[in-house]
Amino acid sequence: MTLLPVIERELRASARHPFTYYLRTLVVAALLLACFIFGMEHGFGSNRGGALFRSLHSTLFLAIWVLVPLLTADCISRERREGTLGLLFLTQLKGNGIVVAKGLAHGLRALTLWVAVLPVLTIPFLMGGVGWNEAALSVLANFSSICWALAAGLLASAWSKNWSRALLTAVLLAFCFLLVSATVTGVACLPLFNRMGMGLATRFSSSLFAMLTVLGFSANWRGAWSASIRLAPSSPLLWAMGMVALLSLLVLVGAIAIAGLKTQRVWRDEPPSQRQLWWHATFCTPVLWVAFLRRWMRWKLEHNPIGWLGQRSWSGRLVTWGWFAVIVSLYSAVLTDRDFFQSYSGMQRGIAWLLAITVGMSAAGSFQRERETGLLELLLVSPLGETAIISGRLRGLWGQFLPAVALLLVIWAYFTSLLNNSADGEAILFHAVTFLTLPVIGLYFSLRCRNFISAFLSTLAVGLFAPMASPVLLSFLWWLYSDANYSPQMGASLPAALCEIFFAAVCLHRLHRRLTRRAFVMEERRS
Amino acid sequence: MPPPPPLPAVQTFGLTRMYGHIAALSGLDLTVNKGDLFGFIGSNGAGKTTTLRILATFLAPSAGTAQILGHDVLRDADAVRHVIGYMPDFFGVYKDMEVTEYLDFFGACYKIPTAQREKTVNDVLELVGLSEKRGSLIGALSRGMQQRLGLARVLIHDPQLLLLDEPASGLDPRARIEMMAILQELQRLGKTIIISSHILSELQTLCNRVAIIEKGRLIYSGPVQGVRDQMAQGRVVWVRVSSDQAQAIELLKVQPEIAEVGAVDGKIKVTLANHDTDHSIVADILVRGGAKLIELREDEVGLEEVFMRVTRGETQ
Repeated sequence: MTLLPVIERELRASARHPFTYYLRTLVVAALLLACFIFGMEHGFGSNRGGALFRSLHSTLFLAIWVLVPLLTADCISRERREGTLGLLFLTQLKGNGIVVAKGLAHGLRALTLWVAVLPVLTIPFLMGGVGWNEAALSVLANFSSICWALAAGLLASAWSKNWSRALLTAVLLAFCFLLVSATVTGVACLPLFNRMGMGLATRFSSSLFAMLTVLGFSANWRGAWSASIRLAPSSPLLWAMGMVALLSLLVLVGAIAIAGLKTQRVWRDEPPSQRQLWWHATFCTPVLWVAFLRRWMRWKLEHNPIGWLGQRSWSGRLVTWGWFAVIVSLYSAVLTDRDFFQSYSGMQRGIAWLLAITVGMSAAGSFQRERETGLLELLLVSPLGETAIISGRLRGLWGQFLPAVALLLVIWAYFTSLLNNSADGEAILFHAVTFLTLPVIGLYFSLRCRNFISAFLSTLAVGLFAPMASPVLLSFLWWLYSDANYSPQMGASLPAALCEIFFAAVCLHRLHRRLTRRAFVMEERRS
Repeated sequence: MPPPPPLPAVQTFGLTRMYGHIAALSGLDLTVNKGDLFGFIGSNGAGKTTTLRILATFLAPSAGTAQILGHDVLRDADAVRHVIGYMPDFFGVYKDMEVTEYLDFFGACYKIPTAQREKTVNDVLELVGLSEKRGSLIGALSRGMQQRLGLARVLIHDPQLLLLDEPASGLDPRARIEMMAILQELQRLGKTIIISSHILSELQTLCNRVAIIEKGRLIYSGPVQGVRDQMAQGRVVWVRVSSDQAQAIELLKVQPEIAEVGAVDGKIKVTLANHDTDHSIVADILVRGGAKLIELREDEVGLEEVFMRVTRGETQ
């Protein structure tokens, strides 16, 4: 069978990659952390296993939807960039075969993640309080998620050549697929409750609330399954989830077929088509204030050539002003809603987190291109020097997100002062510090890590999650060695912000040292 | 009082670079004079790229010193960066940039004033023959053009010393010849050029001085002719006679100036004992001995032959 060599190559390549093992460790560590936090908040008493299981399933569910698309997104696009896809097509392989082989290899990789966390998942069973039907629902929901997430990654990889575009497409597709899969789950499961006369669907006040409910159901958020199992008999529910899993598998097969066709069409490097040129000229070329834009970009080039690199292209500017537009639109929409003041805090926190993740993503990919093309070597032998390169890139990243972050924080602060909400004050401070520190941490990992995914995950881990978890750990240690009462402080904003500053300072120091010592990985660059 | 000797463009003393326990360079002493077109020769992994990277301030030496036009590469890296232009053995381009945009960017990195930059970009594009491609995307350029763009980038700040690592690798013969012509023109303009390459036949005609490096150690440094002379110990002269070949061989064998004589494919291969012996002595011996000489030709020892001998370890 001609697929086997491709699968073997993929598996061998990932087996040689240290990141494969780090990732398994990272996911297991995340689940153990979730266990720890759960234990600190609720204790490890008997029959608490059900609640712990729910917490672990939600974490795993989220990890699948984040990691699988990101890990799959560059599998075909990388072959296109490196010119090896053409070599595969010179053999007996066809587009579908290549995508099937990639899909199988990455599916297996996702399953190994699942296997790696199994020992942690047994903890709630040992504690008691988890039913077999809940476990079966978890398996089916996770299987469906893997299928959808793989489909998103493969499609994105077939459609893009550039790695950053592939990743962005994968994230967007995964988000859309998450909504679709949640809808499918809702359509399959909620009528069961209606048939039982519970009329859950009629209680939804809006389609957004309905969507959040079915999303929560898939993720077993706040014990949705236990409640559902209490409301409806478990066998029809399992049957419905089984059908959803089967449908997800069919979606994956369909996505492989579509990605195969696309790969078959694009493996030869062709110049851009007329339609692409028109699209680019119409939507990606400045038409208003062109002279002003030129002057502005020239000014940026003079003052910060390294920062200019990030904003010279339309896609770089799109990130800046796209986020700005999203925040303006959201505020314009929600301020007219009569319930805004009841839920404004959650909405703003949500936007702030998404914005922070985007900042982390940009920072983690910051030196990637320069390392791949060898341009970093050229920049380091120019008179700019290491400090100017770091400060230039940092200023560029801050400048890229400043309009959106400033707008968000200023409006948030205004409402906080208006409503006298001191808790939000700390959150604003935390996000302001995050905006300043995350680019530093991301920049360090973009230099340190070979691939983008590891850089991105490390950035989030060190820049966001570790500072949030640190107060919990510190208070736990304090509790261990003193007679004080234990009070968990997960996400306590002020200590977390201080931790962020500390981590950023360490990363900045190490970043400078790495650049000075040239201690970074350069890719094979000969074109 | 005699004027002080001119400052060399490059001078290294005991330059050493270790990668863990492996020595990429071991005590390299090298001098390159101003205005030289200096060929840097060595097999893969010999230490050429490491040397050029140290000279370009990208790497720090583990031991020893290197000076570029009097500036130390470690202590005075900023000054060095202003006087050198470094072209690595890869393109190092942003493929989605236009040609002028790319040069403009590096011009800004080298802090060339805006007013001057446009003219400079035009001049370097003219010099490397890319004026017509100024608005093109770099990704759409051919390999040869990207290589020439790399050279244009090197020249953007008008450096005095060019460090070119394999600038002609992967180019077709025409592009290679064009590249070499540009380098000769740059030398004529007064630039000092250090070029590492595997295409030795071209270096032989292009460079006035060469250095041969093997396993991180300098084997030879000096004029191109010198390397041939030094390596031509046991020079070979080919002789053809119309009379009795065996008699001619006997005549030559007894001469102390001749180390070895033998018949090969109807010709006589004569190996001279000393490299400074005039090969006309062979003709003299044969004519005086009564042999009828038809042809006498000395083997030309090219740089490639020298390189092959050196890398086989014949001179070590």
